[in-house]
Amino acid sequence: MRLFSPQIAKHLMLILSVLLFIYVLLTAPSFERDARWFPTGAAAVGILLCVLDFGLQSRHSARRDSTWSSEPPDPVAARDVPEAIVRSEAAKTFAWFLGLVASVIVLGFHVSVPLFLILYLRLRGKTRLWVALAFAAGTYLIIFILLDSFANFRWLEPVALGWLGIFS
Amino acid sequence: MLEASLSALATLFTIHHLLGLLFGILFGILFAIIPGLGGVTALAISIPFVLDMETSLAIAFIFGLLSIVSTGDLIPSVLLGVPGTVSAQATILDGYPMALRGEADRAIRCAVVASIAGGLFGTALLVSSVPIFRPLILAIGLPEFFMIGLFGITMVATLSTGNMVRGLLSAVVGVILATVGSSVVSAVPRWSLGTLYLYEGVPLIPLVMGLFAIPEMIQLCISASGKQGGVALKRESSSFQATLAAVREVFRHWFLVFRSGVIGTIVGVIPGLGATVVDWFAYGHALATERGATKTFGKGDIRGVLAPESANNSKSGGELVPTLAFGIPGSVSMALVLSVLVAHNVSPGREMLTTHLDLLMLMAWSIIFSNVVGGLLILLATRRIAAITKLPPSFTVSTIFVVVTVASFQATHHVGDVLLLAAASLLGWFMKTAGWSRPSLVLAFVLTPLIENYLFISINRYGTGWVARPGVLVLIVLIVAVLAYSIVISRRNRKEPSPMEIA
Repeated sequence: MRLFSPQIAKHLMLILSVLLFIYVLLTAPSFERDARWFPTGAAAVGILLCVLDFGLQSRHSARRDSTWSSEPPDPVAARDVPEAIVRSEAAKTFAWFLGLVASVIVLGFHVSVPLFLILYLRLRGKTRLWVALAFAAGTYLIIFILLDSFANFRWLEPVALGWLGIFS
Repeated sequence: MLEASLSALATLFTIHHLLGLLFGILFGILFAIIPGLGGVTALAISIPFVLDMETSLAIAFIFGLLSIVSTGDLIPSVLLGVPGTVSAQATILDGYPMALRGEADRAIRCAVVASIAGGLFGTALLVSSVPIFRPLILAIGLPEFFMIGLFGITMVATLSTGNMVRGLLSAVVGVILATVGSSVVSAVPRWSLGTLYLYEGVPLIPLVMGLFAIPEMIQLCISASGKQGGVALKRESSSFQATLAAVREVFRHWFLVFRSGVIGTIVGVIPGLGATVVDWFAYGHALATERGATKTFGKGDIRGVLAPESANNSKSGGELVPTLAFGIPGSVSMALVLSVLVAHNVSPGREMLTTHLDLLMLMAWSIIFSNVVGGLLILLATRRIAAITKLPPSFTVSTIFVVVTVASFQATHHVGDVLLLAAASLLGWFMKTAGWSRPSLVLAFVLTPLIENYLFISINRYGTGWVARPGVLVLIVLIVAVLAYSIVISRRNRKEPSPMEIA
């Protein structure tokens, strides 16, 4: 959960960016001339900016400067929520989202969506069972019946059904 | 231009276009009044569906949605003290105190009328700028378009953020991401990992939804674990009389509403400013110029609500000027609008101001009708709409997770869309937590294919001589000026608190 703390995130972003730019600089020369120089130039600029950011971060850390963000203060930010709860809530919510994604891939949208809604509303939202069931049923109706008939959605072939040999 | 305008009006006044506009308005209101959602999420979710619509219907829906978000976001600002979107922050300063002393209905009605006025003003400026920009667009060449693209990226990366270096870093990451897939100049696959999925590049919709929608839902969950307040709307004796009183009140302050509209439009025209600062500029201007404001602002002065609301609606018309004239989106919303237009084979720039002038006029009419019809809807159903702000976050979050996942998959109908959504959401959360600018990344991502193409053609046609063209030199100077200005401002901000910190 410390992965979701601002300090770790800040350093992680810088490290990932440096790695990305180095990767681009190393692999771009293998492309033909017209395809390589634009990303190469961008990556070179990126490396310079990373060095500059690292230098400025070190300088401002020494001065304990907290105003070092490139996004404005979040309008929905909870001012009264302790840091530990912020990290915990972020991790839990993200885990639920990843669970939905994994479920969609394995079981497909038609099973995962109502299952996720019922479980989320019951376990996270502490909602009554009949409310969760009604909400899931309503959402299913709107997405898979009404909207699908207008927009002709296409749906993912679930891996589980492939295992069962239902899709060839 | 008159012909194009009348043709667009005739197109809009068909049943299915009016229905499309109405659905856009209702969708926009829903996303505006729930804090943390907003126009970007609504637009990102809608894009997979509008791509299959006819172009004119897609325009009516999108602009119906976008225009009303700037109006609807004031409701949670006034009733909950939480802004519906980032451009409704300043409204809280006087709107919420008004609600606490029982004047929520008056605050909302006056703000809606001011929003309608601001929206109409911004649209008027958009339309009147066409004859000015058309000869300019026809006179400049691809080297200038390349520099304008670079200028737009620089502006967004520096001016919209408090940290210039991180804003530029985010932009460079966006540029690199945009080069994945087949090269626009030589069709050579770059970093496609041997997969067909990445051959056409990283899809925009799962990327944007992952970067914006999911982190905002996580933030909503975090906020829900904090204090939750809110003011209930009292039933007024007659909503018509209350609305009439609001109109009279806005007319009494017509000059303030007009000046705020001008500020909003100018801020909207400059790429990178826009949503995060427009309401503060207008609020600050009203504080500095209105009589007695220093004593009454922040305590429930209606002028402190009228100014930001007029400005944040007029911004929409202003934002369209660089987007449609030069292909430089000034905000993430405009970047998404641009991607929809390009997908419908409508290119910004010359084509937009000549061949597709009727589509530009359709956008203008859609904005006008969205502001008026959407505003009237909010005025008529304020209490019912306000009830939606009380919805428990678990319903909002779970629904958005589902809708975003469904919509992402419609991008290319490949499992990679869902995986990309998950990866982008993790990246978006880290960027948000680390203070890296997500709008810079998205804007650079959208612009990169265009500017790479412009640069390639410029070099092939002019050699290195394109750098010496007068228009290019002027833009180089402007880019340097923007960078220098950003350094000065960031040094000043470290010494003085910003208006957002004061709030």
